[in-house]
Formats: sequence, structure tokens, C-alpha cells
Amino acid sequence: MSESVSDKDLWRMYRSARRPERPERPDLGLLSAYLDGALDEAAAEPVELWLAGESTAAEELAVLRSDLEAGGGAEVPERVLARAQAIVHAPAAPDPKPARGGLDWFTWPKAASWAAVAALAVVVSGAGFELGGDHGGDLMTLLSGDLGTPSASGVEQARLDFGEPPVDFL
Amino acid sequence: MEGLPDLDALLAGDKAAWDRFVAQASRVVFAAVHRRLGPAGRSDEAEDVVQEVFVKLCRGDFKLLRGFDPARAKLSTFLTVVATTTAIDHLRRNRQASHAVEDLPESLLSQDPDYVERVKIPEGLLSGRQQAVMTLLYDRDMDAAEAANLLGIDPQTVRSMHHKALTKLRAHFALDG
Repeated sequence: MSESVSDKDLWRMYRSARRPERPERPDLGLLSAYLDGALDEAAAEPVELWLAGESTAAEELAVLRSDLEAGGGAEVPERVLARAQAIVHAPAAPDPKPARGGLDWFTWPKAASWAAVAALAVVVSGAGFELGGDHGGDLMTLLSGDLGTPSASGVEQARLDFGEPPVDFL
Repeated sequence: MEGLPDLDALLAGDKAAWDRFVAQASRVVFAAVHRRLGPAGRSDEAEDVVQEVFVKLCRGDFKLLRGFDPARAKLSTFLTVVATTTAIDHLRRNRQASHAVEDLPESLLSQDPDYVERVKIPEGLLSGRQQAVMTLLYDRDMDAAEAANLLGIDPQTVRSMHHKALTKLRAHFALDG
């Protein structure tokens, strides 16, 4: 390498060859600690790599230092204060428990299961009634899906399947 | 800022602690936001940016505020950093997309010397601080005192970092050249 290469050219060669990814602004807690001089060189590495790799970082850091030097506070309009305070809400009061003896036992799944039981009871008692009469065959035909007019042979077949009633009440 | 607000109560969701925190912090936040927006002629947007700062502080169960360590930084520093960076980001978002060429920093326009060889640079050849010093001295044309002021270190340390960085670079490029 020629001795005539200047220090600045040497740096530009390094920068050009390295082309690091543009680092993001460091964590703001870390940046605050850096500005307050609380970090050693190793801990300050993310901030200083940001300074070296991000073209706007030096200006940003200079702005932050001058802002901190200026310090002080400003009078804040009441509406600004109220708006910021409203971001966090007071926790809501817990819902009161329903009074005992009300409808707190009622739930839709419970109601549905009771309705199913009632419907089954109606079907079973209806079936029992029909089987007890002369038209047991009709009921069986109906339950088997044959909705046509029952034929004599169909009634006969039902009698064969289920037997004659023990007593002819009529 | 006078006294440290009760951050533990605030982080536990105490509404009264949040209200006290806002009353104390808003002076610093409002001043920092105004300092950034004022020169850009956008003071009328300050109230929205202040609100954005406080939303940022409590977003995600106060994630940002939980990152504040009173052992390493003053609360006023932390609030100034949050407020100033929020205002800077606000100005950037609202900046016109087109830039005049003369507004671009020189570092973005400059071309590398023709004789530059693209050689592999080993990781960690220069430390973060050495890179920062070289950037400020050569890309930002600062002198040692200005760089030291920005980095918050002694000017003698800047000179020492500069010297060590150059020695490493000369050795590296001499080996590769």
C-alpha cells in the first residue's frame, strides 16, 4: 500500500469495504444512560455503533445533548394534562353477584337438555299408547319411514312381528 | 424534575400515581417537544406529540417505562430522550418525500475512491467507539473537542482512539495490499 494514502482515505476504504447494516436507534433507556455518562465503553457499544453506522445519529445525539443542557420545563396547558392523564383509566368496580333465588341457575345448555328429556318422554309415552292399541303396525310403519297408506299385508306383518294384543278390548 | 414519582405504584396500575406522574413529567416532555417542533414551524402539533409520548410510555403494560433504570439515568434525561426522539420521528414522518440534492448530507453523495479495493474486513477490527470517533472526525468534520463533547468523553481519549484506529487500519490494509 502506498504511503501517500491519507488518514481520511484509509477510513473511507474501511467504511467502503465494511458497509455495515444501518443500525437502529438504541434502546431509549440505554441512550439515556449513555447521555448521563453511566456506561463504560463495552456497555456503550450499541450507541457508538449506531453513531458510526447511521448518518443521522450524530445530529440526533447533538440535539439530545443540547436539549438536556437547556433543561427546564414549560407550563403545560390543562387540556394537555387532562388528555394524557386520561390514557390510564381507574380500574372498573367488580360486577355485583346476582341475588340468590333469582334466575342465576338458568343456563341455555341446561334448558336445552331439559327440553330434550321432555321431548323424549312425549315420544316414548306416545309410542307406548300406540303399541297398546290396534294400530301398532301403523305406528311401526310410520316410524320405519313408510308414509303411504298401510296395506293389509303390512298390518299383518306388524302383527307377526309384535304379536297380537293379549286381549281384544273392543 | 422535583422528586422521583412513585414508579412502582404507577407500574402496578395505580391511576392516582399515573396522574401525579403525568403532572410532573409533562413539563419536561412539553418543553422538549416544543424545542423540536418550534423551529420547524410545527408548534401547533405539539399537543398531539406530547400525547404520543405518554401513549408510548404506557403501551404494552408500560414496557418503555419499565426499561428506565434510575440507577443509570435521571428521569428527566429519560423523558427528554423519549420526547425528543418522538418529536424527531414525527417530523421525519411528515417531511416531504422529495429532498433537494443540496439538502442531502455529503456522506450520502460522496463516492469512494477508485483505487479502493473491496477487501473483507474482519468483525471487530475497530471497536464501536473507534468507529464513532472516525465517523465524527472524518465524515462529520468535527475536531477532537467537538467529538469528545458529543461522545461525552475526554478529548485526549478521542485522540487516543483515533490513533489506535489508524494503526489498526494501516496494519490491515498493508497486509491485504
